[in-house]
Amino acid sequence: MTSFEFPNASNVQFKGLAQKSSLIAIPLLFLGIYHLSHLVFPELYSSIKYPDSLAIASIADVFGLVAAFYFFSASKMYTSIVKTQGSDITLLLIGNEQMKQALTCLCVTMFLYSARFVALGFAYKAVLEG
Amino acid sequence: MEFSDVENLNFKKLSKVLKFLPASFLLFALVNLLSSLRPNVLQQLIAGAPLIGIENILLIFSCVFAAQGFKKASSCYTLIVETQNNDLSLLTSAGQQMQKAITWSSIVLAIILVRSIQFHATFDLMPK
Repeated sequence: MTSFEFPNASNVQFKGLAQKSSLIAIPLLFLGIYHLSHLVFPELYSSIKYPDSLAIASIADVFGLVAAFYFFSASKMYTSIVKTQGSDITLLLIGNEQMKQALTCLCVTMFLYSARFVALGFAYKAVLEG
Repeated sequence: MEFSDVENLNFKKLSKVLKFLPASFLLFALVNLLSSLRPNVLQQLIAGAPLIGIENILLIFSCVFAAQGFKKASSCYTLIVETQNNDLSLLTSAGQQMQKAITWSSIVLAIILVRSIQFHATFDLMPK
């Protein structure tokens, strides 16, 4: 691997990307914890029984939590590019790999949230009518 | 500056994943748009916070902007692989687009979180 140091303009951009990666991980983390806590400790929140489809829909939150983990890891790598000297390309490749995993999980999460949005609408309608 | 084959392969993989993201965000926007155009159970439930309000409009626009950002970033990464020069400036452009897309995605997720809290709060107050 070639020893290469990015110029200051690129470093500024990597710093921004690291900050944004950490930023997106926060709502993903809160969403995952909030939804999964409903599933694990339903008695803390609800006086009604949530439909079983909620458990299936929580797969989206698991993917969200994994995405948050990878976003944090990618953020750490991009920060290292700015802070360290000489191993920028290696760190960029690792950071991109983490970002790829994070975006894959985010993509699955968004597809599942779309499905969840529709499915829970029907499920809760049944709860209201039943 | 020109990246090596190993680095180009890395960018190619990232570009491939980025191509799928706009579809997921646009699908989510579409589902929300349909729910606001046609009143459904969700809108009846969240009293005082109608989904057709500013929150829903912001959500739909954020999804569209995020999708646009990811698409542009994907194009930049593809260009890095395909072209022979300007790799560094293309990498900077891709990074900028990624930053924009991630910011809009964060807004989308924050709105989902707020909406989810409203949604559960409504249900949790219901009698058994």
